[in-house]
Amino acid sequence: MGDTHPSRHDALLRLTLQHQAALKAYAYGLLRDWHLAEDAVQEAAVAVIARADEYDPAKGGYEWVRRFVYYKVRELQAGRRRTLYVEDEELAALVHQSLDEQIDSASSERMRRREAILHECVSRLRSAHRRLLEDFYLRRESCEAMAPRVGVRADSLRMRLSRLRQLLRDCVERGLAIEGGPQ
Amino acid sequence: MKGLLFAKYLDGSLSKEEAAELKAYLSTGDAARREFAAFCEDEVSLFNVLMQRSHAEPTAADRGVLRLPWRAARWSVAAAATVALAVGLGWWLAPDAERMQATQPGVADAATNGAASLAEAWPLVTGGDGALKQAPNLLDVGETAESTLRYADGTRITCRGGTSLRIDDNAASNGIKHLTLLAGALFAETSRQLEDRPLRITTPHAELAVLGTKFSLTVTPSQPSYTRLSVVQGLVRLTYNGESHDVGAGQATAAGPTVTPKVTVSEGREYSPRFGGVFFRDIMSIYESNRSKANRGDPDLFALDRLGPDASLRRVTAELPPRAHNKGGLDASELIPPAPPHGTGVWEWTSGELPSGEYNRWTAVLFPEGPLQLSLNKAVKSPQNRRYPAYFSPPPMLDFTGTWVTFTYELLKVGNQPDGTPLWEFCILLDGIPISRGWERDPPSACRFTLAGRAVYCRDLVFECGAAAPRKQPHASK
Repeated sequence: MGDTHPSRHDALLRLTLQHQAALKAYAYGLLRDWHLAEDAVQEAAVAVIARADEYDPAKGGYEWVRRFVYYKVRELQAGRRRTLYVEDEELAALVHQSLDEQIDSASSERMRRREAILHECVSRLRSAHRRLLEDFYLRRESCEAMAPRVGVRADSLRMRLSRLRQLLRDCVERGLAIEGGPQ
Repeated sequence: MKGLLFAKYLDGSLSKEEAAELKAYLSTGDAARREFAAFCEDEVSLFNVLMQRSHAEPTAADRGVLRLPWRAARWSVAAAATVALAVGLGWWLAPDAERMQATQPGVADAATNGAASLAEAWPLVTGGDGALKQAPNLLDVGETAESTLRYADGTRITCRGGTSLRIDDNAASNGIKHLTLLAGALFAETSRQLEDRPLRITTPHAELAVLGTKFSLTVTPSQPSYTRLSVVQGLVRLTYNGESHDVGAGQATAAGPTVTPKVTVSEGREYSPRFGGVFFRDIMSIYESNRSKANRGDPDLFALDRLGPDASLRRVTAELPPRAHNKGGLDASELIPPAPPHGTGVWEWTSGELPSGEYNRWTAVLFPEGPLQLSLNKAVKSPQNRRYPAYFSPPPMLDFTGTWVTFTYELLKVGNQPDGTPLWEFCILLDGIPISRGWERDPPSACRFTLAGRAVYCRDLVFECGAAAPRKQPHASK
């Protein structure tokens, strides 16, 4: 397989890389675990290349690749049923519908533009706030675990994180406005 | 804005009431669902940015101790001066909106990127005194040594003994990590690379583009000369003769004048070695050698097919090279090919009594033409002077078909047991990748390998022992 359709493989690999950010957001919304979301996209990329023969560009590249990501998400959920499934099926369906409808082939480009500005916004945060974000996102500490160290209740910490996110979102929006591009 | 609600969904802390509220909200229409999807996108973006910053931050700390090559150093000083000016005079005086504008590509940014990208693209290496220092342009690792390159983004490249590696300073000046592996073997654990700036590794036979993965890469410069790639995690693109091959987790391939790379994908169960280490996937057939081409290109490579296992094994026996560091008294005549059952080239090597030091290592370089089956029978002398066998069952999911693979069994004295007798740690590696690790209560006094497979070649059978371990193994810290 590896050398039977090199041009098609190239195109698929490019397609996967091009939409990587959007696919990760899609997987993350479903799995609620960053590292597993990365795994799902990575494994989907391998599966996409393995099934290159079935690829029909007329049917939309992003949607085709996303289908593989969805299968990988389901596989991961099946392997860790307790922690990754959203118990409320109705809510799970609504989440899936939201991500399916709203994260599209334009999302990656949008995310790239926002990330470029977000870099600067994060560097302008106070170091204590940045550390809070790093503990939560990179070190994967829960609000419950961080709360005693910070000296507040877990709910207050959640609220603080929420305000930080909003601050960053506003900063990104301002940056986009300065660029003059669509938000 | 329902940010808090969305965040609680994503960190799994929604109460029943909040779940109901989220459901009701998402049911209100497209705007709400768009808001939720955008929140997920922003979360991923924030994670990406924090991750990139966490990898970049050690760069600043390291920058002070870097002794850069002349052209890089000159550039760095100029860039640093420009950054200092830009930061000192402009940045903190500007109102928010202007500060934001200053971050768009421009003079200040170009200077920042110049200094940062160079430091990010030039690795550090641990010197003989244990201190980190800038890696030289050409790194030659001694036969019994080992060297680890560390990049600012967390990428680690462990070069095994005998490796020769060149670092491309032109590419580094442009923030691109580019290495040329001239000979030897390395194991790379790379962080996520920017899509337009993958880590590049060139070998005499092929080119690799890496975006974030773990893999081992071997270049054998002598005949048969080839490059072998084995991916543990992620995806690596190997280009050979203008053709690209994507090699995924659990896959391997090889390229060279006598082998044509071919990668097939197989899904399979995960394998977890008992003592931790690397996870592998079940591989049924990841590589098919181009036999006819190999026969034309290198008559010795597939001699076994033409001459039959016994004849070929005698030939291999005769060609076993003497090794200066073969201190165990291994005699090539001890390579004994038994009658091959069912036409397979099953054979044994029995070492006889071997001296035992605090560090022992058996190495064999194999060339299987089918799934490698391998067992190790160890005769161990107990304190009561009794012998009993120990054995190692091969991990069947590893397929090194069509390429040379180095099998290593290492035994280190790591301390004493409560009764005062020594405690030993063993590790079994294939191509430098640890696949099994554990403890031995008694040192082996004799060792027997049994190698089975279709038309297996073997070279460089080596036994080493010494008073102490010559170096720390790269896997020991995992």
